Amino acid sequence: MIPFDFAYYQPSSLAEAGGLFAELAAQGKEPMYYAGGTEIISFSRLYQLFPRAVIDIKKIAECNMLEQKNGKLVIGAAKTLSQIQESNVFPLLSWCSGRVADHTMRNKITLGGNICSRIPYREAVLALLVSDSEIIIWGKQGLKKVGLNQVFHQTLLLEPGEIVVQLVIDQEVTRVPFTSTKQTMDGLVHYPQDRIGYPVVSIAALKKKNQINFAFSGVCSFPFRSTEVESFLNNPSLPWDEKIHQVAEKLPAEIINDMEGSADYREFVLKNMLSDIVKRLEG
Amino acid sequence: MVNLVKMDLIELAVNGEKRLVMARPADTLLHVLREQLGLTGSKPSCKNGDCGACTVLIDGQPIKSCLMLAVEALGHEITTIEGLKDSPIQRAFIDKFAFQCGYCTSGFIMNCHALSVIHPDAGDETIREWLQSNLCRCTGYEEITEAIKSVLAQEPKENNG
Amino acid sequence: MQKVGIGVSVPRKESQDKVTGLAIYNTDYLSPKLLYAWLVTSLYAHAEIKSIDTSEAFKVVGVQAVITGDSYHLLCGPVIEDHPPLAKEKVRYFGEPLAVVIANSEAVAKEAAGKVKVEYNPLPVVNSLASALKEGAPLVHENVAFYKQVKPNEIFSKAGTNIAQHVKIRKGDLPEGWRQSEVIVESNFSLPQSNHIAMEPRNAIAEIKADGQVIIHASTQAPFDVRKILCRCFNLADTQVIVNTPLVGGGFGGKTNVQLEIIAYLASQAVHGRAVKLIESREQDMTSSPGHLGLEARVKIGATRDGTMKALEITLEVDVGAYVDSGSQMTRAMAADCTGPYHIDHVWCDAYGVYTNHTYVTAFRGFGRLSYVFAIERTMDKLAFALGIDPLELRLKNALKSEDTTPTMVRLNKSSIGNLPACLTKIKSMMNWQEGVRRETGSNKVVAKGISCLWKTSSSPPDATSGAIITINEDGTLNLNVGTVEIGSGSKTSLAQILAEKLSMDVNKIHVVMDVNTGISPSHWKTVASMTNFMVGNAVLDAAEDLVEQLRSIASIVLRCPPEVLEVGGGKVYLKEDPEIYIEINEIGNGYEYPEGNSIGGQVIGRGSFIMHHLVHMDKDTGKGKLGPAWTVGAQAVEVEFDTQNYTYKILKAATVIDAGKVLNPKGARGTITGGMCMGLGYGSRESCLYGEGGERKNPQLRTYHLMRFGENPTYLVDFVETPLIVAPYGLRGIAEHGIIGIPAALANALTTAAQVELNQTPLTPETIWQAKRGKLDDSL
Repeated sequence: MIPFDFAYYQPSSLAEAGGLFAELAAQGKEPMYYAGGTEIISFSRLYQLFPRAVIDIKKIAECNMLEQKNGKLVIGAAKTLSQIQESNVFPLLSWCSGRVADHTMRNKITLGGNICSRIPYREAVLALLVSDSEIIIWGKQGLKKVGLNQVFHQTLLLEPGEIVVQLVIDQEVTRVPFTSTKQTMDGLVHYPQDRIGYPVVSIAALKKKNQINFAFSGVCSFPFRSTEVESFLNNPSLPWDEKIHQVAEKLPAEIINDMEGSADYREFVLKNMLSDIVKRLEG
Repeated sequence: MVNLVKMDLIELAVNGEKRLVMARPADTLLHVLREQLGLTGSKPSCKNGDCGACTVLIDGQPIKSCLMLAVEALGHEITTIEGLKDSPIQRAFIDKFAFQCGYCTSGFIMNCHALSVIHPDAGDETIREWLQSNLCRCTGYEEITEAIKSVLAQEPKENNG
Repeated sequence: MQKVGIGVSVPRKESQDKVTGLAIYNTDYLSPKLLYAWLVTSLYAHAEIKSIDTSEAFKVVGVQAVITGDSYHLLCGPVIEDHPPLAKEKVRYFGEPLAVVIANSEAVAKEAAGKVKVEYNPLPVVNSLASALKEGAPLVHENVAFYKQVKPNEIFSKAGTNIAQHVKIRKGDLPEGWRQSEVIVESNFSLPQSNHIAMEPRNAIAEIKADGQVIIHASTQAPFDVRKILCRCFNLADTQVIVNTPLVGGGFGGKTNVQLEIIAYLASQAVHGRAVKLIESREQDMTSSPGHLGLEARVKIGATRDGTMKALEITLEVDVGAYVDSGSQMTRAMAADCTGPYHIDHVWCDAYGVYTNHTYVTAFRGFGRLSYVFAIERTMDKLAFALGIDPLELRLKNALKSEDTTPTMVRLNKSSIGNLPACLTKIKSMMNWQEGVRRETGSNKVVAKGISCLWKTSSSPPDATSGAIITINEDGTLNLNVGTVEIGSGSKTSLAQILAEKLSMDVNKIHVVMDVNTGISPSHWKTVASMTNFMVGNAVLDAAEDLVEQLRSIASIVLRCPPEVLEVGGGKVYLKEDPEIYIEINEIGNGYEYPEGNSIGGQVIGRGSFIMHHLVHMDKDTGKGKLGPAWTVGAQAVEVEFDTQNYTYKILKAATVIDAGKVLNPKGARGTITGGMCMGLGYGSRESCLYGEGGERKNPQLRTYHLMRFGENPTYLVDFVETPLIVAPYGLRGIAEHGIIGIPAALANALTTAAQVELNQTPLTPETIWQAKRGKLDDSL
């Protein structure tokens, strides 16, 4: 039960959506773009969000496409995680997306929504970061395409009114070796399917030539791919054991210390999981 | 462009019927189904998408109706537990004793029904992935497992998880 | 006559309704006349309420009334009246209701509730048992001595402390017990509070009619208790209050507590008696309404070298939270059964119910047993290890049997205690125990087994009572009306089976009245304590006798013979020596008409009742007394596969063997047991109420409070032993709660064996095990 009112708009084009946003913002309605809406509804119910207007982008054609063309995979931001998972156009993305919430929820949660989520974890982002995906954003100047790693720092850096339209992934990358693991606070990670719950640690890794790209969630209070961590881990002159042992010193922020896992424990899991992942990719 | 800027009449397609309901834009589908249409089979429990007791089908796909706005359902086919008539999964739930208090049952049945239609040959892994979306506090899930398996194809194609 | 009632897996009577969405729960009660209430709850665990400003809330269009605690001089509680329904002067736990907004819709009520401004003056928070029991600790209740004791025989609080209840067991001569002991083991245990999480959140509707008639619609396990408590709180006659209870969406003890009914009554009063519906959000259900107790325990057991237990000293500190509710009774119940199902001559137990600034607690499946059993059963394993005896054999050696005495000095007989050795023997082969309790299976994996026993008596009031009414329809079917609530345990169906068996009838010809209305239904204490089939079952048998007597009396006239030569069965009254001479019961159930029109008889109404007998309150100084008519005993085991590198584990198997006396409904019984086991695995592995430094609740959602999910459950092995309880219908014993009781202990025993580190707390997450291992490592350095 959302205790306050908001207005709902369902534009059919990006321009229309952007125009609505500007107009509603000017009226002080604090509009929000709405895709799956699961977070807007649940946070509004708890008074953690107060939009006075929501703009549903699900009917905008560009946000809804899923195609493979000219060596590129293009995924609309309004595609649900289930649709992406089932299409299996990018297996690592399927794995990571398949760990968000639960199956029924993924019928509603969208890729764009997961990237823009306020929850610290955002598993789908991991696959997009390690694959050097590009993101297409609609703004005042029209569409722009940028590397996700350039605009994702803890959160996706968007100007007010900008819309995430699509993610573009080089199809080459969807065919290289990869792996990914998530552990929750409960003791049942052995089942690949038992993954409901926030991660204590979650890692996606992808091997391109001799380099392994890593992205992490559950370690710090935001998902990240860090140049420092990655170049340290890929340093060929040090043995893996030693690198993994020291990895905590290279992290971009403090390790999360909360009820799902203490910082010490997360570090322990991080190291175990990294060993396991390296074994799988290098083994 | 569909807009709903304040409480107004909207037409929903529910269980094969067109129904006019009065909804605020911020009203969830769960609220409108129950309070406006008296379809109380879909249950409020966590209202946070965590438990699945409110699961309905939207164009055949299971959706948690507590995290969907009623206005979002415009133009889609909504099926609630009241729209299922003598389906195999309903019979299986009785035969296998797959419920006790029954409060989670509608949501489980809707999810199971969608699974059996969409993936009639689902194996253990798919069953588990789908049905982990619903919580049951009374049973130990054993009988629900038996119920869903009894309506799916006898020889699953996937390996066991 | 065909097999009809007992021992048959009859699907529950309300099955069709439950699979079609037509089953009606209290949340489903809709009416345009309803107003809606929303709770304003405390953001502090312990604070003075400086002011509550409701003016902004009143401005929201559609608000009818806003009420706050300071308008009432009202204290409630089932044992001691320590609980203002809305906080007054100070708040004592995070989430405590302190005001209610009543409005035309739930959305408006909730919006306005968000505009109620509360100013607090924070007080030092009693955030743990240790801090509650410290010398000079801040007091959760300053004036315990002035509270009215509703049940003075049951509560022994200590003024000037946070000790709300102190129960003592003094059996035998403890120093002598230590002298006889050759091996002594000790351990400390810690188990957190947890939540019930019935899928239907707690809710209530109240209406007060012009003539003063109070109509309550409640999702409760105890409609008659709701009536009793409302009458006591508001000085009403019991004829003035009617409580209606439809199907209940799970209870697990959490719906024995009377809270929202009182608040809904106050809300209705504030709007001139209009009907007000109050449903808690899941977050409120988990913080504002009571949960399951927390426990700290210290256990010391002494035994001879051959494994004969001689002495037990046990201290139980129970976190009852901010108000006593039934916390004092659970404290008492744990003390009364404190040895576990083992014979020990010398027992000393001190059980304290302790106030803290945590959410208060109420009955939870097992009524406290699951917590102290964890402490006892972990210590049993430690003793077995110290003695070099197999843990199952140690239990077998000390299992209670006929002629032994309990901690409260009740002498047992075969009927009252059942057969625990038989349960242990069965589980031994089910779990393939002889292959060993720990084996390494390669690649950092260890498979380990753990065992636990359980026992439980009813802990009911000595005067607990039940009734039953049977009537006959024109078509010869029967109506059975009883006061038990259908909370999911299938009790209405079981009772129909008992009646079917008694009258040799097809169970499908017995209709049960599903809903309870306290104005119409025969009374029943509460739907709790696994006592429904025992208590109400006895009332049903009594009613059936009464019905049979009346039928035979009328039939004797029609069939022209003395009633003694007649028998009732299969819907007929027939001549014993010649069943071909009979009359159908529908011909005489509502009067018999002779061909010429003369009629005799009238409506046949079978009425029956039951009351507990020979129960005795516990003695204040020694604990001597009798809290229930008998015990249900059982053995449970868990097998895990543990990863020695990352401390994660998988639960492979869980087993239970219970002495059920008689299994009424095999499939139903198995489901009841496995459901309890699953809940026990959840509590053992992941569930706990987490409080922050200020006593604020950190995980009040199912997203952060984790339950067992589909497919995480192990393979269940369930079997029964049948030692009849001679005073029970067909010998049955209560089994509804028992599946949960020993499971956390069995899990901890398995994981302790697997990880080779003592695990004396829950939840047993991989992190807990890792921390224990690390602690051990640190200790040895």
